[in-house]
Formats: sequence, C-alpha cells, structure tokens
Amino acid sequence: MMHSNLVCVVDDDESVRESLPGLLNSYGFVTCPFESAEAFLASDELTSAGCLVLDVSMPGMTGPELQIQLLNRQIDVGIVFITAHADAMLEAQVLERGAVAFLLKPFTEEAIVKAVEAALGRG
Amino acid sequence: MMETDQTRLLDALPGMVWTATPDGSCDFVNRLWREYTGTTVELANASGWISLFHPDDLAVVEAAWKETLSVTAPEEINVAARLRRHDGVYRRFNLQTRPLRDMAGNLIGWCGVNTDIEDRTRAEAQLAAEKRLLELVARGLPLPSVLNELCLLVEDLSSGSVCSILYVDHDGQRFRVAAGPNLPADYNAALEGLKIDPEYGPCSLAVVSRATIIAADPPRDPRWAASPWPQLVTGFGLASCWSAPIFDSHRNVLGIFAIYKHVPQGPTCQDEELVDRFARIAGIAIERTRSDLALKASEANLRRANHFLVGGQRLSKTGSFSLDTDSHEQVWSEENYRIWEFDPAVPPTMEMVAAAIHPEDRQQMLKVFAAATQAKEGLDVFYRIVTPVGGVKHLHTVMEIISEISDRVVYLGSSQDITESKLAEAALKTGEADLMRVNMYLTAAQRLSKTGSFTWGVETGHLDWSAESYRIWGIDPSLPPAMSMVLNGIHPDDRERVTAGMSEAVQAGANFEMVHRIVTPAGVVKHIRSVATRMPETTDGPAYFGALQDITEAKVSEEALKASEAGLRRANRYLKAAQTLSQVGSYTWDVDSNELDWSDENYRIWEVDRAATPTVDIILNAIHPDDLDLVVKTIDGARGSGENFDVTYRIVTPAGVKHIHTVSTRIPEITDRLVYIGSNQDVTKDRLAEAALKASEAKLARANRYLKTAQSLSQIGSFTWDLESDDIDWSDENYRIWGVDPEQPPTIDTILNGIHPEDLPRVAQVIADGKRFGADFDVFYRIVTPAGETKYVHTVSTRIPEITDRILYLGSTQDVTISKVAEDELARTNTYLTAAQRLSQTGSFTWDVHADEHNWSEVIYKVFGLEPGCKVTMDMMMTAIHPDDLGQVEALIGGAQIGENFELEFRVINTDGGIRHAQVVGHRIDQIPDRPVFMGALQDITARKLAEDDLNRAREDLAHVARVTALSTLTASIAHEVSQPLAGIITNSSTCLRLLAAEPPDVAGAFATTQRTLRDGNRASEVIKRLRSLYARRAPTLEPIDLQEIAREVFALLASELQRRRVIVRTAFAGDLPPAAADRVQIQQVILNLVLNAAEAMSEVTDRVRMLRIATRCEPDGHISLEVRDSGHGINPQETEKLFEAFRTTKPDGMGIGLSISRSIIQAHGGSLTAVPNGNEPGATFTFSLPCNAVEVAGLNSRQA
Repeated sequence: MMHSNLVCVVDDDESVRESLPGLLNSYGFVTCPFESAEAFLASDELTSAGCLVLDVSMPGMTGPELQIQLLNRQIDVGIVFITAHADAMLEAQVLERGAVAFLLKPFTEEAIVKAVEAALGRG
Repeated sequence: MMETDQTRLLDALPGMVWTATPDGSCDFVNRLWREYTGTTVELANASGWISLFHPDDLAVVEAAWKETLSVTAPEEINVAARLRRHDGVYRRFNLQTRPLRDMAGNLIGWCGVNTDIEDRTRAEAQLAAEKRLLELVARGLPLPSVLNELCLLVEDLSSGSVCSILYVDHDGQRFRVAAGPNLPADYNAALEGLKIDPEYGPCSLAVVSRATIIAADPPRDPRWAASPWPQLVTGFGLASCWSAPIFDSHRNVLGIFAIYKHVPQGPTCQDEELVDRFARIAGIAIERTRSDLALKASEANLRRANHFLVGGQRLSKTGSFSLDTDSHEQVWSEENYRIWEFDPAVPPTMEMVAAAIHPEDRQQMLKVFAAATQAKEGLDVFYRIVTPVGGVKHLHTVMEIISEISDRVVYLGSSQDITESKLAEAALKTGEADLMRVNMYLTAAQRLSKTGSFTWGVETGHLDWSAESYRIWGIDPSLPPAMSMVLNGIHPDDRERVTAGMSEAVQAGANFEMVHRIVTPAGVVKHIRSVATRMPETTDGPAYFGALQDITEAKVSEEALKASEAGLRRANRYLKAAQTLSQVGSYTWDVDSNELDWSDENYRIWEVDRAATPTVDIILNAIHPDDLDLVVKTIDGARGSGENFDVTYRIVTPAGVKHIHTVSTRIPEITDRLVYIGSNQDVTKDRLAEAALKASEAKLARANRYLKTAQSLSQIGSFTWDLESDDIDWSDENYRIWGVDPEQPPTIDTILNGIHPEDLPRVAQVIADGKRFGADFDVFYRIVTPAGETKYVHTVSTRIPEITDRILYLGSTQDVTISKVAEDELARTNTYLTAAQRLSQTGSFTWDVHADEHNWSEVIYKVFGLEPGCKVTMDMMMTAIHPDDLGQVEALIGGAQIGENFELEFRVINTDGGIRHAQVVGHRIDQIPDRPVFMGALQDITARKLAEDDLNRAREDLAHVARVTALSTLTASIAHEVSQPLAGIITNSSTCLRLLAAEPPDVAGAFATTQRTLRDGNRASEVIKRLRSLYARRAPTLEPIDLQEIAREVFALLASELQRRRVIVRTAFAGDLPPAAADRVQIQQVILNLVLNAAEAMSEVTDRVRMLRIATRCEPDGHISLEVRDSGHGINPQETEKLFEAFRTTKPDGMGIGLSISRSIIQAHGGSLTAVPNGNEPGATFTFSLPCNAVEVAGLNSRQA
C-alpha cells in the first residue's frame, strides 16, 4: 500500500493542534488536525493518512487505545506518539506494537520532523 | 336321651350347651360346642373333655367338679376357665353348670352352658390398667415409673409380650430409652441414642410414617433387608416387633410404644387395639408430666429472676419484690427489706407497707395503686416512706404485671432508694449553678432502674427478651429476638471480645458479666452492662438468665469525669510554663493509692530525676528533720480528714536547703476517694530576703508599719505575736477589724474573748499547735466585736524562723464577711474555684458598676500595669484596653449595668507597650439586689495566649507541609500542565523562525505564530502562579472570597490529574453565593484535599463511572457550603469521626493529616466539615460550610480599599 504525504495530528490540546500543523506545513507536509481519537476514526482521513502524530492521554479514547483499534482494523499507518507524561513502560508497549517514535512534550523541531519523516518513509 | 326337636333347639342356641350323666360323662354337646372345639362328644369323652381346658385352669376346674360331686345335693356351679378352640387358641369362658333332677329330686344328670367372656374380660383388664395408669399420672408419679408400670401392665394383659417405650429427641434425630423393664438390658443399651432411620427398623419407620408398623418376622421382611436390626433383635431371642408412634395433643411424635414377641407373629385385632390404646396413654402421661415440668421450670425461673435481682440491684440500692393482688402475698428481696428497714423474718403485708408510707403521700399512693390494679396496669411512682426508726426516705417504685400468670394480677417490681439524690436536690436547689449537675446525677440515678432481662438457650439459640431489653437494643418488640440480632448489634470494636467472653463462659459453665457497646438499628451507640447467670437444671442444654443495663449515661458521665480529670491534668500541664517562671510546682495526690503526679517544675524544685515516680517517701526523706513532724502531721491530717492544707517547711536537696510553701485542696468532684491538687512554691529567696530584712526586730517593726499603711487600703490587718510572752502588736486596721479600742493593747484574752464561741475550740487548737510545733496558720473563723457584730475573718500567720529563741509570728487578718456570706451560698463551687485561683494565680475582684468602685487583688493590678492598691476607675481601665477589644468591653459594661453576668477575653496594653491577655468572669452578687455589684475573677492568660500562638504557628506549619505533600502527588499532572503550553511555545517559535527565514519571509504567518506563542506562555505562567500561591508559606489572612471561584481554580490545577485518573467531574454551583470571609489558600487546600481523597477513593472502581459531583449552596443558617460527592468505596458510618483523627490514613503513601488539618482549618473559620456515606448508592459525601457574615466581609472590603 502506498503511503500518502498526509500527516494527521490528534491531540485534545488546542495549542498543539494549532502549532504543530503550522511547523509541519513549513516542511511541506500536508496536515490535518483532530481533537480526539474518535473524531479521527470517524473521518475520511482514517485510511488516507500516511502518518499519525498522536497524543497519549486524551479524554475518551486514549492514544494507545487508538493504536490498538488501528491494528485491529489492519490500518497501517506510521504513528508518532507525543505526551507530557514520561512513562517508560507505555513507551516500550507502543513501540512494541509498531509505533515509530515516542516524543516527550516539549519536543524539538528536529525530533518531530525526523519522526514524521521516518513514519512516512517507512515501507 | 334327647328328642330330635330338643336337639335341634339346643343346636340353635347362641351359647355352648352340653349335658352329662350324673357321673360326669358327657352325653350331648350342641353344634356351637362342636364347632368351637372342633370335636364331637364321642371324641371328647374318649380323650377326656377335661383336656380342653387351658393347663393353667385345669386345677381350678377339676377342684370345682370334684367338690360338686362330693356333696349329696349339689347346687349350680359357676367357674371361669379358658377353653381351647379348634385352632389351638384359648378363650375365656364362664362355665355355668346346673344339676338336673327328677320330680323326686334325684340327680339324673348335668346341663351346662359355656359363655364366651374372653372379650369382656380383656376389655375389663384394659380398662383397669388404663385407670391405674391415669391415676399414677394424676398423682404426679415420676414419668419413668409411670412408663415402666405401663409396660408391665401391657405385658400382663397380653401374654408373651415384652414392651418398650422410646422417646424421640427434641431435634427428631435420635431415640432415648424411656422404659423397657423386661427387655434385655443390652438391647435397651443398643436402642439408647439410636439414630432414627426408617431403613433401620420398625420403630424408626413408625416415627417417620406416623403410623403403627408391624414387623412380624424381621429376618424375612424386605423392609429391613439392608439393616443390621433383624439380626440384633433375633439375637436377643425376640421374633417380632410391633411399633406404634406416641403422639401428643398436637399430633407431634413424642416417642414409640413397641411390643416384642418371642415367636414370629402378627397382632390380632385385639393386639392392635391394645398397642394403639397404650401408645395413646403413654402420650398422655408424657405430655402431662412435661407440662408439669415446664410449669415448675417457669416458677423456678421466676424465683431465680428474683434471686438474681437481689444481687444485681443491691449495687443500685434497688430492692425488688413480687405482689399477688389476689392473695396479697408479697415476696421481697433482701435489699427491699433493707430499704424499708423491715425485719426480714416477718412477711410483709399490705397494711405494713401502707402504714410505712409517709402520711402526706399515703392517700395518693393507695389511690394510684388501686387504679393500677383495677386497670391491670404497671405503676411508676415517687413517694416517701417513714422507716420504723422515724427516718424519711424517698423511693422510686416501678411495678410491672407478670404476663405469664394470666388468671390473676401479679406484679413484679423494684423500689429504689433515691433519698440521697432527693436530699441533694433539695439542698442544691438554692445554687442555680449546681442545679444542672444535680439534675444530671438524678437522671443517671433514675436510669439505673431501667434494667432489661433475658433468657438464652445456648444450643437451641432460643432468646427471650423483656420489653425493656427491646427498648435498650432499639428493636421492634414484635420481632422475635435472635442471636444474630445480638451479634450484629454489638459494636464492631467490642464484638470479638464479647463473643470470646461468652463462649468462654459457656464452655466453662460459668456466669458472665461484661460491659460493651451496642449500636441500635437507628445507629445509636449505647454502653451496656450484661450479667448472665447459668441456669443449672434445664434439659435443653446450657441456658442463661440475665439482665442488661443501659449504662450509657453512666459511661458518658464517667467519660466526662475522665475528661474533667484529663482537663485538670491538662490545666496542670498548662501551668507548667507559668510555674517555671514563678517557681511553683503543682501536683495531684491520690490519698488511697498514694499516687502522685508532679509537674516538671515540681521535679525541679525537689531536684528529683524526672524519670522517677514520685512517692510520699521521696517527699518525707527530703524534708528537713526539724520540719518532718510538721509535715507528717499535716499529711496524716489530710489523709484522715480530707481537709485542705497550707504548710511551709524546709527540704534538703543536693543544692542546699529550700523553703517550700505547699497549698493543697481536695478535688471536690472526686467524691469516692480523696484526691488533692496542690502547688509547691520554692519560697527560699523570699525567705532569705525575709531573713535578711527581719534579722532585727527594729527592721521588723518598720516592715510592719509599712504594711499597716498598705493594708489599711485593702482592709487587711497585720500583727506580730509572741506566743510565749503573749506580746501582741496590732496594726490599726487590725483594731478596726476586731472593733477594739486602739488605746488598749491587745492580749491573748482580747483575742479569745473576741472569737465566736463555736469557733473558739478550733482556733485555740491552731494556736496551741503553733505553740507546740511552730506551725503556720491559715484559719477562717468568726469574731464577735464588743459592739455585737459578727464578722468572718481569715488569718494567715507564719512563724518567723530566723528568730529561734522564741516563737514569734507575723500574720495578717482580713475581714472576709462579705465573701464569706457569698461563700456559704456557693460553698461547693467555691471550694474548687478557690483552689483553682490559688493555683493559677487568678485575681479576684468586686465591682460596683454604678458607683464605679473596684476592689482588686494584686494580680489584676499587675495585668493592668497599675500600682497595687491604687484607686481604679473605669476610665483608667479603658485607656489600657487594646483598641481592637474596646468594642467588646463596652458591650460588657453595657450588659453589666443591667446586671448581666459576663465572661470575656481581652487585651491590655501596658505603659511599656507590652500586651497582656486577660480573661474575666463576673457574676452578680445576688445579696445586693438594689444595684448591680459583681464579683469575679480575672486571669492573666498571656502565657496561654502565647502558647496558643505557638500552637497556631505549628498548626500552620503542619498545614503547609500537608499542602506541599498533597501537591507533590500532583507533580506528574503539573508537569503535564506546564509541558502542554511549552510544547506549543517551542513548536510555534520553530515555525516562526522558519517562516521568517523563508524567501520571501512570511511575516504575516510569523506574526500569527508569535501571538500563539504569547498565549501559550501566559497559559504556562497561570499554572505557575496558581501553584506558587499554594506552595507559599504565609500567615493566614482573612479576605472576602468567592467560594466558587476558588473552587474553579483548584479544578483548573487538578484537571489533568483527574483526567489521568479517569474521574468525571460534574459541578452544580448555586448562582448567587454570597462571599465569605476566609483565607483563600487554606480553603483551597481543603478543597484540594477533599477532591484528591475522592479521586483516591474511586481508584479501585472499575464497574461504574468514577463520578465526582461538586455542589455549592446557601444553607438556611446563613452558612455557605461546598459538597464533594464521590462514587468510591465509601466510608463506614460508625467511623466517620475517626476519619478526622490525625495520622489516620488508608492510603499507603498518605500522611493521614489531610482531613485532620482540613477540619481544623474549617473550624478555625467558624464552619464545620462532615462526612457521610451516600444513602443508597456507593461512595461518600464530604461537606464543609463557612459562615458568611456580611458585616465582616464588608469590613474586610473597606480595609482593603
């Protein structure tokens, strides 16, 4: 399956949804923000996204839960987790399940860009 | 020879008829005869008809026949005998034989008629047997004998039978042998305790099927094919068994009546009837005997109950009695005789009782009693009796009808001697202050008679409660009591101890008595004393009869006493600091146990190691040998009399000789034994100064002169007195007090003549002791002046020890008439007050409000920083009072002008700028009715206030620690709160840089991202600000707060923590909450704590939503409140108060001070913090309220403006 250039940003925090797409756009990525995992699952972008920048802790479905949902639906998308909580156990779990990166907020420009590129360049 | 017709006729007769020749040879038998015997006349003659008779009857028949033949003119003969039937069965006949004679009277032959009397005989025998058995039952023969007799009678009636009677156990599980006199003993033993099993044998089957079971030939009976019983029964030579159930009148199976046979056979109709009849008789016998026993047992219970009450009620001075209103028979307990002072040897009569009732109460009592008996009602009365020696007693009598005895009115009652409470009541009605305490005692005393009783069968679990027991347990009397109710009702903290105690007693067969708490279904906690006595002679296994008493009141007052003792100890601790400064040590001394409790300062004074337990010996060993006699005498006096003492003596310590002044007062609240509370002051310095000052008499005289002027102001006279030479020197004031002409030098006679005759012996004794031991005196007595005026005076005098060559006393005498009169009125309270004042160095005053006249003791002058003795005015006081307290003091004065008692804490600013805290209490003197004059006490509580300030500071520190601890659990969430905007800032800044670096630079885009950066920066800084205020350590300040706003701030801080914990928050804020005056940070801390606790309580919840509901509202009492309701594991309703104890935690990492501090914060704000379990859903609700005083809030607003 071909990976598109589309990067979906799923985070309940508004400042992330506003700032991160702007930065990624300046690198030439196409972005689309979602405020919850449920919103992303219900969207058309579900199958067309090439990369998912995904917040770990959100009200309702959490990032890791969305990852499991996608695996169950056999939707293959490179996931970059972002979180404000350092959690080594969770990091190991999501990477085990195939996530590309697990970034702690605040992250550097270089780290997020490299991670998104890795996610899109995969496969 | 008979004619054929005649033969036919005889054949038709229903009886057996025969004829014989004169020699006895039978020549005719009729058809019935032939059919019965199965033989003919020929055959009978051939074999000898005599052989037809039963072998046992042969002798009788032959004898009768021979006798008949021997006489010349025989008459009719009648004999009863058994004749063999054709099938071998013998039946009993009446043989009627008549001689046949010719016209000449010669014997020509015999004619006989045999009548079958078998059935009649049998019926008669049965009837006789039944009659005999019922007679035995009616005569009250013991049941085993009756049943034994029954067996023997049946065996007699039915030959070849062996009888057995078995009981069925109460639980219906096993047999018990009741009778079986002719059964083999080993077979009876095998039946004893045999399990009832219908597969085993006919007796068991008869029980289960409730029908007669016939086992005619057990080894061949398929019903017992698998049972060992056929082998057992045949092994004993028994071949058949017929078993009939024995029923009582309610058709319950009581047991089995069985007949065994030695040959295999079934019963005839008669046999069956026999078995059923005698089973019925056995039933009557058993039932009758049992009901007799039950009657006896219930009578015994009654006696036991009365007996028990004797012991139990002696403690409460309660006598018990029973009274049969028909026979007027009375049974009294020993204690009742003691109360009425009647001779226990003389049975009390109604006349004796009526005569003993106080004449003023008699008519009323008789009326009330008559009405109660008529209405068949209980009685609860208070009345007086006059004892045989003329004493008057107040009694409280409660009478209840014993319901079990229904055919006549029988009362069971108790009388309590409440004279002491009544007298106390009467005595103390004058003192308003004491009335409440007396009422309390009275209530407690009356409650004592509220004793419930119960019976308890340990194995049957059967409980029986009196109405009072139901009331105590708070259980609906229509419910039958069960052990589960009892066990559930016992307070969880006591349950293990009580059940252990009970089962220990049950196992040991002992009585038990215990004090424990119960929780009624309504949630009321009561203290109960249970006393249970084992009943010795029941057949239903161990059983107890007991009484339980609701001693909650007693417990509460005991706790109150403990609390007041604890209060004293606290006061003692409290004095420590102050005592260190004034070098006064304090102690308590329990005379009976010789237990001493010393304050730290006391240890210091005596130079005793603080680890040591102080003893009287330590004291005596330290005392200067010259003073030892004095001290020993004082202590012995105190032990014997319980009087207060005041003594000065020397002790020898490692540091040298010290002079100690001890003042000690009995604690009046402890009435059952002597306990003193007192103070020791190290007066060495004073003494040395005194010694220096008074080394010479010249100096002494000067000192006395100085005192004269000073004391004339305070109306205290002073004197010196040489006890040996009787050289007496009085100050002017002293002359004035004694009303004696100052020109006439006083002599010992002046003094002795002036003292009130009633007080003279006591004072003379004090003087004599002074002469002998050189003891100090401190004595109150009356004097009568030459003008005839009686005065109360107080003289304190000390020997001047430096003057060793003679006994010279220096002393002062104060006219205390006014205070003495007041003291008489308030004697009880004053004793304690006096001691308390001495110990705490409280000053006393009188204040004539309208005249602006103040009479102060020294402490008050010191508090106000005024020269002792100077004339005080209201204005002088008002200038000294702290401006912030002026308003309250003015309000006090306003109240005092109209005679209102007062109590106030206020501050005084001394001229040196120091602030002193004082507490004042004033009571109007009732004896001066025309204008308000107060007497009261003023205590310098500066030290306490400073200590309280220290305590408050410590509490604030602790609160801060608690806050920081709570916040530390939020670290992760706070990091999240800050990281979020930080991520935005960094990302935006990166974007901004890239946009500006592009060709051409995207300035508009950069501008937008920079604005976002700023917004995120502000957001981060908000978080930091909120945190900083909670972390900061600052003195609490009151400000107007909006409870909802500060709650929102807390939730903002907690948002991500609650999200992390999956807690859903719902808020229901009242729209128009008024502001409250409070410390913002502290209230936020409380909210933070409650919300975190709620989240914690829901952490284990997985089967329902973790819902947190926050609500605010205005309470009707003008408070505003905030409620935190969780859906967590909830709280135990009995333990809600424990939640608020410090260092109590259920959290593994909690300090356990959160709730304790929260409550102290809320209480310091004048509000309350409570916890309740949620009614019908899981979880708990914590609510705090704050007063909202609009005036106070407005004041804060204006000050801030």
